[in-house]
Amino acid sequence: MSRLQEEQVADLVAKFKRGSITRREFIAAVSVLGGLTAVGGTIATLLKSSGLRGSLTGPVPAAAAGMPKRGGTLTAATIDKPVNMDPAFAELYSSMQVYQNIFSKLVYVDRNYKFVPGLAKSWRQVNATTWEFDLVDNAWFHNGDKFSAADVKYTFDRLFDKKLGAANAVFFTPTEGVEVVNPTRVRIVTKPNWGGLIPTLAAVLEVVNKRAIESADPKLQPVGTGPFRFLEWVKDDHITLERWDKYFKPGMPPLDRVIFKAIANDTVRLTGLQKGEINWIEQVPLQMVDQLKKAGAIKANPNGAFFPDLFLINCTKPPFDKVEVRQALSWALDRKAIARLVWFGQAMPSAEALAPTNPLYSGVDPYEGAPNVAKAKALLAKAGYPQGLKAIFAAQPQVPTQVQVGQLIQQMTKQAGIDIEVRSFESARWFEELATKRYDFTSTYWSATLDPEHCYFPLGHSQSPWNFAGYKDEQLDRALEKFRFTVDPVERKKAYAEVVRLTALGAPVVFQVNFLRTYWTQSNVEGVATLPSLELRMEDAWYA
Amino acid sequence: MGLVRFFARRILLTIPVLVGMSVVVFLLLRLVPGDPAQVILGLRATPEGLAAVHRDLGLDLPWHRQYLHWVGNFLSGDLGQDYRSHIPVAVLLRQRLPVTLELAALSMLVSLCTAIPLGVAAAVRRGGAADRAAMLLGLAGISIPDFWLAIMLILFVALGLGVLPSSGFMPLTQNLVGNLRSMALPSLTLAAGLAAVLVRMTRASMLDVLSREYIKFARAKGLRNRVVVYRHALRNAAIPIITLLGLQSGYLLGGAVIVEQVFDLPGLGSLTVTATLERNYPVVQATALLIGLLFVVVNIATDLVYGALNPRIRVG
Amino acid sequence: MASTEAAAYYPRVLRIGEILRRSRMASAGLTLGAVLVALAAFAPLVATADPTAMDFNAPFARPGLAHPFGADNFGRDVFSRVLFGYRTSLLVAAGSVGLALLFGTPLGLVAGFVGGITDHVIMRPMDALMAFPAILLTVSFAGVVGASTGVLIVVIAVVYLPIIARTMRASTLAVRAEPFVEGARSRGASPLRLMARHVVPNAMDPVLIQASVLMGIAILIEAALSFIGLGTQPPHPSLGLMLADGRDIMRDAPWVVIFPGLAIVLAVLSFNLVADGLRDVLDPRGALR
Repeated sequence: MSRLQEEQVADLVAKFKRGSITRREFIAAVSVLGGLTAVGGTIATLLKSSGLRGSLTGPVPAAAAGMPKRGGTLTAATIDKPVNMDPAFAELYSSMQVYQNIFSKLVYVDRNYKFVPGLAKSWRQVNATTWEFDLVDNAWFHNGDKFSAADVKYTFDRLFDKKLGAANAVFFTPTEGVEVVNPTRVRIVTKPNWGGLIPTLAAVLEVVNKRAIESADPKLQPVGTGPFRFLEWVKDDHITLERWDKYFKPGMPPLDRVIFKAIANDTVRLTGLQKGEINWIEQVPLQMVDQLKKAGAIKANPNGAFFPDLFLINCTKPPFDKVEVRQALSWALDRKAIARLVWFGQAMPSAEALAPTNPLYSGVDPYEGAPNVAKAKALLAKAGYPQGLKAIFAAQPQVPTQVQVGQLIQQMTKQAGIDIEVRSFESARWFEELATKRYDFTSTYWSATLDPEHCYFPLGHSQSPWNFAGYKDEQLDRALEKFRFTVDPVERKKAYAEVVRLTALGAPVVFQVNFLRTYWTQSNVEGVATLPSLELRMEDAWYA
Repeated sequence: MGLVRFFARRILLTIPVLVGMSVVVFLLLRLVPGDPAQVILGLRATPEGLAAVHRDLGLDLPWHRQYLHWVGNFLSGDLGQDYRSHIPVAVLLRQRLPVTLELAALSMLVSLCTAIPLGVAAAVRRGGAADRAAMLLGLAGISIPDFWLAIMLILFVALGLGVLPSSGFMPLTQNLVGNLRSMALPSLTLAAGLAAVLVRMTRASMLDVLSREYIKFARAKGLRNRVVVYRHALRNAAIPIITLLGLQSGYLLGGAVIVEQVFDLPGLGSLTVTATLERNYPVVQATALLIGLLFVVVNIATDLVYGALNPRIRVG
Repeated sequence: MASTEAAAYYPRVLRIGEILRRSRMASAGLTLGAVLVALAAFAPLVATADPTAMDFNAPFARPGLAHPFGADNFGRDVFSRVLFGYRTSLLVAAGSVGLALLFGTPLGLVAGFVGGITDHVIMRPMDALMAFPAILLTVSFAGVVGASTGVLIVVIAVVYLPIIARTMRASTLAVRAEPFVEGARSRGASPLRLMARHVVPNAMDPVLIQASVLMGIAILIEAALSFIGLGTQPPHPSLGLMLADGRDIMRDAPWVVIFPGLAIVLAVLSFNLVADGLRDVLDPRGALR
């Protein structure tokens, strides 16, 4: 660019010296030249920024034992910045990471998928449509109000308020109503036998306080019953939380303060941890995991396969409107290669969304033995594409792993006769392609895998707003609904296995790998572990 | 004709330019496909959610009303809010501008201090060591892509030697030495390209001027070589150099984008990029205008320098 | 202007030969350029592997016999990718500049030769086009139409068109005023004949210099845009794309970023050498600008 300008300037100067333009014209010409250079140099340069990256390490046994010591400030660096502290909106995971420490849920899940008490001391299913929750009576909101069943009712009412348009309402569609029995007892009425109630409460329901919401902007001033109180938010820099002395779990939390920062660049974040400026980070550059573990200076905390990556396939238009073509893709897939090359071994090849540690895990895979080129070819022929076909994989340059997956699947399907073109769409356009169903196929992550209710239903049910594949199959709909309205764990597992089988056979989505999300801390930080709900429960963390 | 009138005219003329630019940016943002609401909500978007966000951000209004709304707010000092974080744009700009300015200034400084003396020395003694060095630097500098230079510097100086950080930014107020260290490689990268062009221009311009009649006169009059070179020749050779600098500063201010991205500096460039990708309209519009304004200022400053050099006499 | 007068009577080929003899820079540049073009043209023969073939068992292979420039994170051979990347770069450079020359030269010629209103009609739109910043145009276009090598060629050609036209116009004006042209006209030569036989051969010099510079810049633009994802799409090898991909793994495999970058530098250098050399010989005082 500067060379061009050099030419243009020399050209103008020569003219000026020759006298063919006046001084005024010369200056004017230079201004125009420069003004546009400035405009061009500024706005137009759409550049790709470094994308998201997962960080994972292999499974590690349970955290070290020891008595939690009280005190200390933990500075945590997440990848993305939080945006909105209102739980009803849950726009971004990065916001949830912070506010989940400010609010409390009725029920929580632990690393072993056991549901443990939160604001609800105990619960039971009274009849097919009613669940009863006994609440703690020693919980206080950070604004001084005492927590009671009325707050639970208010939270739900707010969630279902059409004017508010809360995104999380969709998770509670089978809910019919909430009744306050007395200040420490509440009933939730649902469609018969909604087996997903407890997991959904453990995943997305944070209890809010009416007075707080009405007196200050809930996006900016969160008030909850959680272990940490919101202290300050220096925009674009950090959020500070302080221990809530009246937390309903006595003696908790151990930490005095938690400071959340957001550092997008993997290297800068890692350096911060290594230098001691940061105590907890969400992820390290994947390719460095092995050497960091060997060096041992910083700690990789227990992780889990709670973050699947999957192919999203548009079933509404050719070539993927034929199920055989989608199945051919499933047969051509080499999951091990993807896990190794894209995720540097920090992901588990997986044919389903759930982690193997989930009690519901099915292990069902109609495509065992993949990659199998012969089977893929045969299916393509059956679909009417004996000569092969072309398809476009939509990749965002801002998400390097997506681009890499695209290139890999391109190689993998070449032999089977599928000619894939990896086309770039910057994020805004990528979303549009998905929403308008113009894409052929792409890949994405899915962060809600606590219960099949939160992944298979949204992705596969024909009425779901998150059915980006545009898949309509009555059999799958029935199987999903059967799963949804089953309570008995044994029956649920059977129903889920059927859902996995049907989803794999219909292949609107094809699960590739499950990312081993790992949090890294300094060696003296204990109590940190990746949870199936992907919550950051800083109340469990302490300094040894 | 009065300096004041001159400047008043110039400033008045810039207003239509800025207005035009704001309209172009405004339109371009809305014409290019991509919905800010979609980007905000991501995969969790539902039609109701999108509509709610549109209402929230005022995107459901017709374009001309959006534009007038924005202009009205702008003139009363409200630059709007970042669509995602709701941080006032003015705050963002206040945080980011110093970083880019510092980067531009340092790069300019480094390149001027290397290029001008080298270019002059090259012209004064043709075929000498300085001449060869100047040609080499010049040729290399315009052939090397800046993003590659950045990567090479990171690879060899930061990762290899470990003497400078490979990315990140240390604010000036926090630690002066740390700040300069974090700016060292980025400014070197930008300075290289600029210095290359400057050295070539200086050399060529000086050569041209040195061969002129009045220089021969000055020499004949017995003036010392140094006086001839610096007082007479350089002054006249300066026009294209200053012009180029003026153009380059506009480029530097907004165009240091790649460098800011590669080195992860929180400047205006990377802000504009991220904002454009996110379709964060208020931020992009404000940034574009700010850079345009800065450039106009630089332009006027360049004119002042022209005046000081008084080139009228030298024409022909 | 004596050299130009005399030059009018020498056939073009001889002049090029003389120029090369007189400028070491230009010959060096041409030689280098020729080597690179040959490498690109014969890439399938010279390459040691299929540039898109992944070897899942040999990621990050160090430079050695099997992979002269090493392998990237998918096990792809860097040397072969650089060769094929050259194809893309040179294609974009030649294509865009060629298109610009094809349309810009006649436009500039007519504008300069005929003058008057024709000049205005042709050049005002050119000025407006030139005012538009290159990157803005490219990005908007690519953003709407979709990014690819073809789009790049067209967009860069559109950006270059006014530059070529202006240069041609300026030198046409200069040559038109020459005595020998007047002489030919007074001898009864038709405007067409004047343009073709007398004006064009002499006016082309600055345009060729400009073209050489622009080819170098086109390579940089292609690399820069591919670097940010708006140019050549994967898996087609592009030097810019290789640099972008290599950034994350350069700690472990620096060769992935070193060699593609060097390749870009060499290509751009060759064009700049030719341009500088030509300028030194043909136009040492900048008089022809």
